Amino acid sequence: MKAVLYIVLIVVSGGAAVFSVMSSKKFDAATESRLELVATNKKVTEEAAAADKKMKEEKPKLIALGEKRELLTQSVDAVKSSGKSLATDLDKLKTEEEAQNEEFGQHEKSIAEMNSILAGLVEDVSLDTLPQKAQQLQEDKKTKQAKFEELEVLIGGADKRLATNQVEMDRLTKRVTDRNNRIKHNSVEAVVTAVDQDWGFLLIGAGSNSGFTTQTSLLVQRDGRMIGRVRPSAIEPAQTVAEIDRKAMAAGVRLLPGDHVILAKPEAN
Amino acid sequence: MTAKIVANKTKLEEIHEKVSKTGDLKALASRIRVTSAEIEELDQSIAEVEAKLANLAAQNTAAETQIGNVKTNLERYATGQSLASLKTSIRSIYSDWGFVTLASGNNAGVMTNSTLNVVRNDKVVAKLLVTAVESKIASATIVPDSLAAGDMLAIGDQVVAAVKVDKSAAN
Repeated sequence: MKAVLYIVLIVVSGGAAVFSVMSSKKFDAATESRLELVATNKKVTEEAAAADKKMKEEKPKLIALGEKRELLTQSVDAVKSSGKSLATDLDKLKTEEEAQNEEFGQHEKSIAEMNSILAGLVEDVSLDTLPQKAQQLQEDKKTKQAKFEELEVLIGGADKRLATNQVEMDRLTKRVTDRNNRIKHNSVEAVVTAVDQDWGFLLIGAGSNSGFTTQTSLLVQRDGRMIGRVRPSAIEPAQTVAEIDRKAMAAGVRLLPGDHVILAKPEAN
Repeated sequence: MTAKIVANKTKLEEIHEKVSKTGDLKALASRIRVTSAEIEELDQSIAEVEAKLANLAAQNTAAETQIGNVKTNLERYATGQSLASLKTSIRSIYSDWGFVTLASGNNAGVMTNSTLNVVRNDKVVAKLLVTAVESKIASATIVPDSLAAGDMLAIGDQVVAAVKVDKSAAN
């Protein structure tokens, strides 16, 4: 049993030795690590101090930079604002220019339409010449209207003159015709159609159609010789009753049907 | 761009000013067209009226000439003158009665109471006084002492109108 105890003691002693060696190694490592850590801590502390110092040195600069940055930010904002304003103005100007161009276009279109309407009437009308042209046309129209009215007055006068001339011509023509008809009757020669010796009248085969009137004195002829004179007492268009002028009769002569009568006094004019 | 817009503005203002004077361009153009059409119509009417007037003037001239001729004839009738251009001839001769008949009458312009010349070889050989006129024939007496002693009228002798001397003018 003792052996076993010895063996156990030996094993425990061995184990303790091993454990002791291992713990020593761990302690050494931990010590080394602590030293390294201390060194590192020291270094870091130094660095932190340096950094703190540097920070302290840089802080005013940082503040200045911050202020500067603030200013710059403001400037940039102002520039941005100006830029926006300029862009707006530019947009406005562009819009205005477009509106102007559109208006120009409309004017050109109107002038083109106007020229199209006036095609063949007036040439090359522009906005400058149009009012003059319109005025000129109005004056032209007025002048022509006045001329037309004047001509109509002249026509009225000429019509009246022609009517007067025609009336005068008709009057004169009637005079000439009447005269010619009177003279035409100068050659009238009619035939005695019946004779009443007892009552002293005869019938002649011509009347007012041949120009006989109650004032017409008629000569009776036979074979170209005058044998008597008669005076119309009743006249019909184609027949005349005439009284025999016995004083004008040649002695022993009797008027007979078939004898001819002519005008005793031809019309002179 | 601004300069261009300003220039355009000026231009547009000028255009506006002109348009304000002319009024609506389309309406003005339409008015011009209407006026032109009216002028064209007036031109046509004037041409027609001028032609009518010329025609009336010609008719009046013709009528006045005719009236003048008729008046001359009527005056001739009143003053007892045969037509100056009368040319006729002796148709028959009645020497015993001292008259002749002529181959023309009223239709040729022979007038009662007018004096006619009997012409032979361009010389007046006798004078006749027209006593009666019919349409196509006339009779005239031989004016005493107008026929030279020994001369005889012949059928076919040419007869023309004698020029009537205006006594008042002669005096």
